[in-house]
Amino acid sequence: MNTEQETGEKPNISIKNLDITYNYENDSEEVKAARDINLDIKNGEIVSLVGESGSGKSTIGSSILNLLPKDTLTRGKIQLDGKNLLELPENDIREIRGKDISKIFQDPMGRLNPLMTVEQHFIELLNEHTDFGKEKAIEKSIDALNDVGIPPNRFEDYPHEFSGGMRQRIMIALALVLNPRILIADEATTSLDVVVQSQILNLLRDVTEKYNTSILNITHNLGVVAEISDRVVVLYGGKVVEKGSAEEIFHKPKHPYTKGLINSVIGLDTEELEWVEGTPPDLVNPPSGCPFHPRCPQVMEKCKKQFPEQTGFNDSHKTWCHLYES
Amino acid sequence: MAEGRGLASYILTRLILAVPTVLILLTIVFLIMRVAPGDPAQAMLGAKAPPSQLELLREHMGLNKPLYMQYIDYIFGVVQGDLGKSFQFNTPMWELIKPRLMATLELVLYGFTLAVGLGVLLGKESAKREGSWGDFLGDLYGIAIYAFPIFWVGIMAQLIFGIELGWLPTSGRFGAMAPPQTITGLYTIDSLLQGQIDKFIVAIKHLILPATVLGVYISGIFTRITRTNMLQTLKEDYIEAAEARGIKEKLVVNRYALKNALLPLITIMGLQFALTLAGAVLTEVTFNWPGMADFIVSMAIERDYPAVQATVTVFAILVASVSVLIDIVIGVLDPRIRF
Amino acid sequence: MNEKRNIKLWVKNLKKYYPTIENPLKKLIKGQEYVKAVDDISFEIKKGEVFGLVGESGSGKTTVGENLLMLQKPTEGQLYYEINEEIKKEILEAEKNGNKEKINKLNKKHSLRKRKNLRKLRKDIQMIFQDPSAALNPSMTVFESILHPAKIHKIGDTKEERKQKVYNMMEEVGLTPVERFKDKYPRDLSGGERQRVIIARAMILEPTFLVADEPVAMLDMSIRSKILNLLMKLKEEFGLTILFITHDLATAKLICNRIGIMYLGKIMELGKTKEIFENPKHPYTKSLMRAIPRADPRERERDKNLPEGEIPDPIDMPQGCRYHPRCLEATSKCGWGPRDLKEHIENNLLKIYDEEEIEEMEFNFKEDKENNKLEIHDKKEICNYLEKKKKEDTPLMNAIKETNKNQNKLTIKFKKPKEPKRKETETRAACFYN
Ligand SMILES: Nc1ncnc2c1ncn2[C@@H]1O[C@H](COP(=O)(O)OP(=O)(O)OP(=O)(O)O)[C@@H](O)[C@H]1O
Ligand SMILES: Nc1ncnc2c1ncn2[C@@H]1O[C@H](COP(=O)(O)OP(=O)(O)OP(=O)(O)O)[C@@H](O)[C@H]1O
Ligand code: SF4
Ligand SMILES: [Mg+2]
Ligand SMILES: [Mg+2]
Repeated sequence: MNTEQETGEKPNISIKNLDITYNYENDSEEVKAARDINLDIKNGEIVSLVGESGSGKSTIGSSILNLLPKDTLTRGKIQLDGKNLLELPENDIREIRGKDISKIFQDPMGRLNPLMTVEQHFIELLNEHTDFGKEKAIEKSIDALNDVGIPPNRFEDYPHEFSGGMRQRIMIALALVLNPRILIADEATTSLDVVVQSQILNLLRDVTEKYNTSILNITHNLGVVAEISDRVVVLYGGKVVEKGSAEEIFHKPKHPYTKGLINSVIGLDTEELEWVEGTPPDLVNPPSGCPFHPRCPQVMEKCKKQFPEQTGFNDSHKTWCHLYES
Repeated sequence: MAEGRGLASYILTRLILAVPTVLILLTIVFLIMRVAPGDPAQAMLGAKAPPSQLELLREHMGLNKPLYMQYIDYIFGVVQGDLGKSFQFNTPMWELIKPRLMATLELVLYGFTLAVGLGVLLGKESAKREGSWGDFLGDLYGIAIYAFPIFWVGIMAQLIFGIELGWLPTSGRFGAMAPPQTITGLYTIDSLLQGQIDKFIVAIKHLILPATVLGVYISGIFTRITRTNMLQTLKEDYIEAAEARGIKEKLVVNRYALKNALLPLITIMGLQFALTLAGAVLTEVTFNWPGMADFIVSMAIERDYPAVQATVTVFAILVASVSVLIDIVIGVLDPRIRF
Repeated sequence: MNEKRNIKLWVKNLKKYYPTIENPLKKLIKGQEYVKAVDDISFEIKKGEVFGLVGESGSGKTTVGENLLMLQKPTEGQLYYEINEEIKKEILEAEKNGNKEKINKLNKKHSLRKRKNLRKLRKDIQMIFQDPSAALNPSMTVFESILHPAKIHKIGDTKEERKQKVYNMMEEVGLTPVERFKDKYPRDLSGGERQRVIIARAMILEPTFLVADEPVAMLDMSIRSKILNLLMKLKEEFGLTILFITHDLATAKLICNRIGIMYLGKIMELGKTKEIFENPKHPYTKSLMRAIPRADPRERERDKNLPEGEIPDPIDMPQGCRYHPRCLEATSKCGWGPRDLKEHIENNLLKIYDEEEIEEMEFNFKEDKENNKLEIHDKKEICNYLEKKKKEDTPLMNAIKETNKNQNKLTIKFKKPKEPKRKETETRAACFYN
């Protein structure tokens, strides 16, 4: 249907026709959290995934590492080096986790083991994936912590002794210490002040340049998205509704939802709060046709019946909206 | 800045806090012994005893002093390790109680260790396989074991292993042989310390049945608690994060889930210890184990009030010490509560 | 409610020090060390005001919030609730005269640190926690989580009424359709959905004072605006007072009446939002302003001029102005001392020699904090370097009072450091120059 092999460069990781349904065939209601997602990330590229809270962003991020609950249905392909990660046996995927692909979780507070010091977290990770001796492991860890601005003398402290933002930085250091090929950053900089955030964004940029790491950046902070993304993918109700370069999404948004989202950004010159009217879509019974139709100011009759086809404006900029179908 | 100061001070605070706890316990013991049964001297000598003899006994026991003096005598006595004198034997109580206490401790030690080991292992394995057959069996074990009356299990074990199969002795702590020389008072340890393997085997043989019955009995509750806690901990965010870092499942289960789940377990273990003692009492009676239970029963029959009071005192101090110990262990394991 | 009690909360000289765990031997030698998470801060929040607390990550904002609710015990300081200028004056006066008895009496009446006062206000003061997952009970459904506090504080008369209240609250924060969310457990929710449960749980008690710690960080722009709008509505209609802790300066600008900028446990600048944004005084505030991300990829390459160096260690705080090592406007007066020089030498020599060579030189730095001096082995390399450096007019070099040489030893003495204070009446910023 729609692949993005326009440039011809081989993607690092490629997601094809991914469907994710929570509570598949168990007693609770099925939640269709992602539907027919297609997404490629090239080497050294930063792609941002934005969209409403509850639209399926973290779900997609977790599916790449095969971390979803057991009774979740995943259909489609997530391809890395010609292998489909969704079908890899547990042992193989474990080797990839933390080494080739690492993840920074959305809420950093509860993500560190309360009974282990920061040092123990690092040593354990490095023991698992490398055969560095203890000395080298410590050196590596301290370097990684230094990069995110945690002083070395707090290396032996326990998680509860750090502030929210510091824990987040520890998680970032843990995710980067092995120079992964792919980094899934789920709200990686939300609990940081803007100065540290800037520094971390620079660090992430450096990493993509130095090690050719690809980053899937999931965030609500459109400022951060604008600062670092090469490309942006907009999600609504479990569906991709628009994608394009950062420039295109911020300056020439096409989809009514994207427009509404950009409009609600609170900037320094904002004087009044604005939002998209209506309520988030129910993912148990997703709206028919275009998922945005119940809230869309430009809704037409056919929007209620049919999901729109892709409209391409150029190689990179695409949207799925009946307004643009010819 | 008078906040806690790390581990050392945490332990110190716990120890200091234990003093009032013990004091309160002792006070309760004192009050029960003094207030509840009326006049101990009367009770000991029977209703028809001549007044002069009664008076003599009262004086001997310090009962004619005002109550607060008796209380002070009692507390100071305990502090100095003086539990009073037995009415019948006229020997210091401590000398009578010590071997009994050690016997009970030996039984409880093995029983408790077995209970924890078995409980944690079964609970862990059950939780790992939530919803499977294995889990179901583990859960069933937890409930079933707890539902059986302990003395019945004890008698069955005696019948099967002692009488039917004749593998193990069914009563007592040691055969006809002279027990090992007392170092700690625990026969298994004393015999090993003196290199007397034969005595060690005898001691162990006597221990197996009662300790297993006691251990299996209380392991039921440990299985259930471990399982519940593990299930909850396995759902924590840091478990998922560890998995995302590619940490091996075995490590995740042991280092993350089990260790975190053990914290509440240890707390409960402290509370459970009193229950273990109660279980031990029944076990001792069933297996004729010459421990505290046996002792307190015979002393009560003899109406030896000082002896009963001393035994209860020792029990109280034991339970209090265990609870302090547990607090300290938790403090060592969990960095979050040291402040 | 007393109309004239127009100061909702007066935070007075609040300190929160966490003892660090160290090996006992070191402790004996060096004494107990502390993370000075909140280091003597004072401010007041007026009734019906939104007071913003922004600043560095790890600067103590959450700690302040939690101390206000007495979720943690302050190390020092007082928290006075619902007072007015007169009471404030009385307290200050009593303090000046050393009238202990009077202070005690006033504390008993107004201080949140008195358990009796706090107990009455448990429902009145609510907190939205920074980390939604840690703050939610994993074994309670969304409905139960929101209902629980309402039940405890007896909100609504009947069960039915309470249930309706919970549903309304869920709709208000966008947890819709209610039927779908009410029986979900936290782990089956997205980050933003969890955050909204926390918000609903706090708001259902209709508090008059809300400590909101990053309440909307995990919400998308649209829902964020809607929830902020809800808060603003409550403020307008019911006079809700909010302590708003955030990293999002644009949001702070929009909704806060006044803000305080925190850095390493201190408020560096405090004032009306408008003034701070139009004319930031403190160099740290200025850096923050420059670093605000813009939702426009075209501005990516703008010069952010980030502050230099690493975030200092809160256990061993820099002397003088605690921001001086990173400050872009610092002068010789700002508190330079032996540690700065040592770091400077190490960093710069590293550019000339490699690590092994430096090790061979055996400088034997000796910091003397008391007298604010540094002793170094008298080495040719260092003397040359310092001679050269001294001619450059840098604040660090200008802060050197005298240099002595004797017996192979170079002693460099610095001027006595002073910490700039923020005086509520005179200046807004804790900086010598503003
Ligand atoms: N384990 C689960 N079981 C059932 N439903 C789930 C589960 N996890 C998430 N969901 C639902 O799936 C949808 C997508 O969740 P996801 O966490 O991917 O959202 P998100 O886009 O990351 O949102 P946010 O920005 O708020 O973090 C949500 O509606 C959520 O309620
Ligand atoms: N329990 C604790 N023990 C020791 N240190 C602590 C403890 N809690 C917090 N700290 C330290 O106190 C300082 C302030 O932490 P706090 O959580 O208040 O920061 P914050 O301003 O909320 O940061 P963020 O914006 O990152 O959430 C940090 O240096 C932190 O490491
Ligand atoms: S397809 Fe229709 S409903 Fe959907 S966004 Fe476009 S115009 Fe609106
Ligand atoms: Mg998410
Ligand atoms: Mg915080």
